[in-house]
Amino acid sequence: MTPLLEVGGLTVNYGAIAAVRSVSFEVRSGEMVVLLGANGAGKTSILKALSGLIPSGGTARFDGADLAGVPAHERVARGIAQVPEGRRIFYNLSVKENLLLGGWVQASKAALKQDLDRVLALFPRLSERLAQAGGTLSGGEQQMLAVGRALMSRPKLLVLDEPSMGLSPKLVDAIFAMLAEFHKEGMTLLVVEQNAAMALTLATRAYVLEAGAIVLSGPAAELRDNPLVRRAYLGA
Amino acid sequence: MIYFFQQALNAVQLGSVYALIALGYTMVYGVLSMINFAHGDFFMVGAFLCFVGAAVWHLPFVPVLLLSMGGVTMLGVATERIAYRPLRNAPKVSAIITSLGVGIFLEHVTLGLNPYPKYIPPLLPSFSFDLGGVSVSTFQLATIGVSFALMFALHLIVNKTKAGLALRAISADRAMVPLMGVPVDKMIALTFALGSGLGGAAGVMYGMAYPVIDPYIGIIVGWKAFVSAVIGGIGSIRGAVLGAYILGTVEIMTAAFLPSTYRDLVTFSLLFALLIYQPSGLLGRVEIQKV
Repeated sequence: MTPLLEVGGLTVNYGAIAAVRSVSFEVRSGEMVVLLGANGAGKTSILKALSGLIPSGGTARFDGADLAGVPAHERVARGIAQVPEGRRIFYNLSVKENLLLGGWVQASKAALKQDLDRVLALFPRLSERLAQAGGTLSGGEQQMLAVGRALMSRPKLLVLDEPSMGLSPKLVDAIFAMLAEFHKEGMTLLVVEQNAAMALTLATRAYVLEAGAIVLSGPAAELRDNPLVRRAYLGA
Repeated sequence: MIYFFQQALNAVQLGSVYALIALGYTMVYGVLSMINFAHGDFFMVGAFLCFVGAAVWHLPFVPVLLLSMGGVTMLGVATERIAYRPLRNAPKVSAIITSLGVGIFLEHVTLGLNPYPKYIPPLLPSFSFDLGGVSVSTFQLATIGVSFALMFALHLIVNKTKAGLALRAISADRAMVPLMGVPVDKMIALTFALGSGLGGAAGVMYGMAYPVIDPYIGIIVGWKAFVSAVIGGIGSIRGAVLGAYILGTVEIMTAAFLPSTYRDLVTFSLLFALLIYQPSGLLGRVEIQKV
């Protein structure tokens, strides 16, 4: 079976600086794949390139079709939804409006309503705050809203950029429990994380990035026991 | 007292014209953080289309209004596509300078086509109602009525439609909007369409009040409308309307109760005073520098 997402020789340059140098990876249907790496390793650049927010070189195929030249907003319609780094809630829009905007690509009002109900069932806290401006939510609630907003487009691939960033340990546990639940239900996930211990426990496979290149890859369980990973990311 | 109410009515009329133009400045600023200095000249083109419709084609009021709004809408969308979009990722000052250039270009194309000032014939039967001693002309009634209707329509578009939701999202965090599946370029074109259409309508309203027009009317009226948007808090739609009515009132009342030559002096003094105490305008949000 061909992978859902197949990235080959991806490069991202910021002027003369090469942030991502020829990175290749794949995500198969139903997998939860984790990209690990320190700050500046190029993780966020890879996700931005994948969503079409920044120009990149190399090839990317998603769901059997080439992504070259596909603008960012059409990638959402094709099934890639991203929960960006720092959540990036629209602070001036209400919780409900944030969610509805996430469902922009839904053609019918009935489907939109159905998805809104589904997301609110998943995050009951949000239904208590529907009319509240997004900017007034706590960090944890904003993260739920960001995930809910991404789910509103019914993605085939849910991409998350450091979902645990800036959250209390208890909330980090809650977020990862939620991702594990999504994975169990068959959703395909691509997650960038610095919390390697947690990510490697849940993921199917992982890639380790250093200075814009992949230095290690394999099943998450194997990487967990890799001495290099243990020393660099697990503090062992 | 009757004199005061008569002047208040004039203030609402002038404020309505400023409001229609100020909305164009504030909406473009809201989505692009760019000031489109050609907007005053879009308004001027609207006044000239009004002249063409009324004096050349002898059309009645509503078709003239639609002609001006439609023509200036197309002008605004084309300007964005040709002159501003290629500079989307250039330093902001490049786009602002370009807009000044577009304005001068429009003034001189119009000048080339119309070397002499033009007179716009009355678009409506000219008579006045007596409202408790205050005389209300058909022109005033049409200006205030049409402006309120257009502003209400804009309010509905921005707050009750899917496209309006996207526009508000863009004003908060443009970079993130494509991740929602929203075609941002189309939404920016829509912003220019809406703002320019209102500017075209303002050209007709202005032409009814001051029927002798030349290619430079967009400069001072455009500045006044821009000042209105800044007083209200540029980027804020309600602020632009509020600022426009404040400015219209200050201008009319200054001219009514002080020597009329003080008018612009008072107007711009008000701007300076306000900006010292409230740099983000009356309803503007404090700009947070993103890291």
